Amino acid sequence: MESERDSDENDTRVSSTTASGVLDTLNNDRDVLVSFVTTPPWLYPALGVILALFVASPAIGSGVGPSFAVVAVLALLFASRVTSRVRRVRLGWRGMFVVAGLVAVVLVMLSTSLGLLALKLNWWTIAPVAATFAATLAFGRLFDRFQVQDIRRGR
Amino acid sequence: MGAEPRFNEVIHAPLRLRICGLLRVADEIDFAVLREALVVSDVNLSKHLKALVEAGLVTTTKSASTGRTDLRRVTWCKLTGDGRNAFDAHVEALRLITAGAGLDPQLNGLAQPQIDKFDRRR
Repeated sequence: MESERDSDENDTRVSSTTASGVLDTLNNDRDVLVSFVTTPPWLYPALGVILALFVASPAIGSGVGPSFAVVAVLALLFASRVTSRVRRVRLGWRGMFVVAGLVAVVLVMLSTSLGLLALKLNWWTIAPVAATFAATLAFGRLFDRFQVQDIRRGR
Repeated sequence: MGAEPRFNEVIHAPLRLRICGLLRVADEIDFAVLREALVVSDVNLSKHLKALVEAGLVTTTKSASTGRTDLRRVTWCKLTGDGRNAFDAHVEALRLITAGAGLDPQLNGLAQPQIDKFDRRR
């Protein structure tokens, strides 16, 4: 009876080791996959230019209205998806916060731009335009970092 | 992942489990990426993908490639809803074993010796 129990315990330990090894292998594979999850180097600069033009539109009358900006952003995201070898749509809650944060920044910068124009400070609109471009690059990098972390965690 | 632990005989084969593990964190993965990430041959990967497709756990689609100058098409691999559920349940079962809880063999669907094949195949 005692020896049977010992034997069972040994079996459990072996299978536990094996299962642990399998889970480790899956973790390692996800680490390897991360190297294939790449954002095209042109994506965030191009997004930054579009959003910056959107913020600058009241001052320069560039014709980059909300509809054009949304279509252009979607077109860029589609082009990025076409060129990627690992497709991943899910944002994760942190990714959603990053996207929401960028939208908030763009709207605040647009308001600032309109305010500066109302005060006849046309040249000062360069500041929110530059800030929008910089924020797009920063938020883009943050988004990528969260995506990589989520993949490593198996989410 | 919160799934009910359950072994899946099709998924448990080492390479198939690793394929599902990669597909679980992405929506679609290029066949070539799977091959490079898992360091396996085309033939071996195709064979195991075929088994997963036949079990309804994975789907494959072909599309034109923007990265190629020739007319070859890219094969995209994707885990199905059933595949996701089966993989999550399988991983949960592995976690349970790792935690030392053990599983009812009737629920496992796999005998202990088959579990241990993983080590020998790696």
